[in-house]
Amino acid sequence: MEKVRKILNWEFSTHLKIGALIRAVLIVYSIYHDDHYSVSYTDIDYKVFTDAAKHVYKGDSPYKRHTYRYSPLIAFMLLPNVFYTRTFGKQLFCVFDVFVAIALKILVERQLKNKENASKIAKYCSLFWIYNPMSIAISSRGNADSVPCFFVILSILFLQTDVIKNLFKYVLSGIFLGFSIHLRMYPLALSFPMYLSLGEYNINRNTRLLSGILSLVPNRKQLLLAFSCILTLFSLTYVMYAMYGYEFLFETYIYHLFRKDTRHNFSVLFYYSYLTIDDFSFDAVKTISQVFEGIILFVVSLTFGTKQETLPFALFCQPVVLVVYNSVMTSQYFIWFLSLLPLVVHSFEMRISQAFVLFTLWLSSQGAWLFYAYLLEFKSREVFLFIWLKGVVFFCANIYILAQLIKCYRPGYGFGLISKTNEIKSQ
Amino acid sequence: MYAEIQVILFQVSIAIFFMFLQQIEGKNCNFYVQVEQKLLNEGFHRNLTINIDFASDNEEERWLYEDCMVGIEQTLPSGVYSSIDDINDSGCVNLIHTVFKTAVNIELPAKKSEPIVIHLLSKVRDYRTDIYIPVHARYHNPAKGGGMVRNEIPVPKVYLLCPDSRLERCDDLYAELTHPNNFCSEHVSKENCTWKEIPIIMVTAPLSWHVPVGDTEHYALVAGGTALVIALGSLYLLNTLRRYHSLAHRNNKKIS
Repeated sequence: MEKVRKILNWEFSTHLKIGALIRAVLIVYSIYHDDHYSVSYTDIDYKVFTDAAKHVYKGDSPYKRHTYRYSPLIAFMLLPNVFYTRTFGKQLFCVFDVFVAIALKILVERQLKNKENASKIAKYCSLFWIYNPMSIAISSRGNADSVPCFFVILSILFLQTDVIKNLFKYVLSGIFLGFSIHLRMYPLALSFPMYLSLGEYNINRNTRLLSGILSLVPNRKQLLLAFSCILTLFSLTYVMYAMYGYEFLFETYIYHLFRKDTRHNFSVLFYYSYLTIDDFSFDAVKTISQVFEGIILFVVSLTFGTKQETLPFALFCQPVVLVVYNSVMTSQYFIWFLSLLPLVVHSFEMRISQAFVLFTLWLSSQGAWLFYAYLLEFKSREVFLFIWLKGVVFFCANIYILAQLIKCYRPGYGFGLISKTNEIKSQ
Repeated sequence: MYAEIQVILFQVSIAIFFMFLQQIEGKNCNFYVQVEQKLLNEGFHRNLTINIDFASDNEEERWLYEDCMVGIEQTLPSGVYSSIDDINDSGCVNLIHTVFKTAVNIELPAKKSEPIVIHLLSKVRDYRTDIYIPVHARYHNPAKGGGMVRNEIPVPKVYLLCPDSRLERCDDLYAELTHPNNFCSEHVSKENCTWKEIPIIMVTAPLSWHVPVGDTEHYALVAGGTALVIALGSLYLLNTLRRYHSLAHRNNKKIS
């Protein structure tokens, strides 16, 4: 235990270097693995990005590559894959991983300013990203999700800290939020709690209706955040639309809104979607799911999004709910909330054993699903019902874990490194 | 003097050419071409291999295939697909070029897909051609009782393009066995297409690929179970949020 503590207390820059080295080794290994094994280490999407970049290099549309469903910016960023080295994109995504770790450290440190051990707590939090096997694997396999994650964290950094002291910080926050929504649509769900966190609400039983409504009128900060976000999103959309037309709109946005993928995935809705593959009538089960999802997103936003102090937890919960209720769920989506976990991990007042149980529950329920998916996909075994049951178990595990995290969420807990007297004084 | 030598050389080369022609003209072209078609691995992602033996143990016929280009036309049924990106990434060194004659949508289920025709270009090396392409099974519509559904993979067509118009110097049997085809690109007419389809002997059994399908009889259980789990899970989560909110409200009151 003493050794672990010693390692944890290494300089932040040392941890960054180790994290970068692990990723670099895996990028080199991926070249070897892909050349020697039939199941590739490199993500299938990385090949899609590279092919799209090849089309752009030739002056064509990236959407000439079948199944390219991302912003053209990703293809632009990966142009050196064509003329420099095929691992450039992986290197770039790993650099973004390191940027995410640095941004997380700064963000948590500034959020905890004036509290004891703020720097130490921030360092521990960022380790949850640097050494997260999921973030390491996803970036070194060539998945681009660390890019929108970085812009989401930058947006929160400007929103919640005094890196910039005047109102311009809300403009910057909005710009980065708009940019991340352009890259991936999930940050759209973060915009509502972020917007709410800038308001001042003194509504109680004695509040009159008029003053209640007036308190909901957007203030200057909210207007700056909303307008800069919308302006950035629309500008990028307009430029890309001018370049690639309706194909860009459809592949990048519309496809994701109406996606109906009936092939096996982690979602609790997978088998139901498959059994109703040709059914275009009113879908009661999906409606139930979407209604509950909407209500939970709204309630989470109101419960945690209205205060600056609890906003990070709202931002963590939103992608969890989005992913858990989505009709298509793959492991790359987990990075959406795992990148925000370091913002709140220090606020969970729970024993290490409890954290271990929850972590094991999450992994084992995934493992059980993966076992049956393997039997189906690689052994042609008829196990659809088992995959559905494991999907149900994984859904329940996710809901249970989220509920436990809500129960033990104590803003300002700081891994127990902030003494209560200090906390009360600062309150 | 120099001109005389040139004339002599020309005459000698003409004589050699005619001698060579006499050698091959009227030869029996039996087209004893044996083809093995196999599916490797298991599950939804497999390799389709095609191994062609051009009379490697028949010295009398081997001359015919030396330095020839081989064209293979493989049709995949609607429940199976391959893609140009997959083939390019597969690392099959014997494949020189691949042309998809049919547009491919890799995301569609079998019911909404059409069969795919692929032209695979290779070369005869040591009287053999061995190629493989990665293929994937599509999801089929669920059926009553579930079980497995069968994808039948047709045998390939084999075409040859040989130097010196060699194929045309075979005896009359050649005309009976080969026929015009559409292996050439679209702008080349059938008459001008120099690729010739040749007869083959399949030495492997016809390929069947069985993939599992969902059971429509599960519908009531799955629809009801999914809705119930989602509803109960959501209510549990909402209740947790409500309790957190009440607790936080009470604590705030205490502090104030």
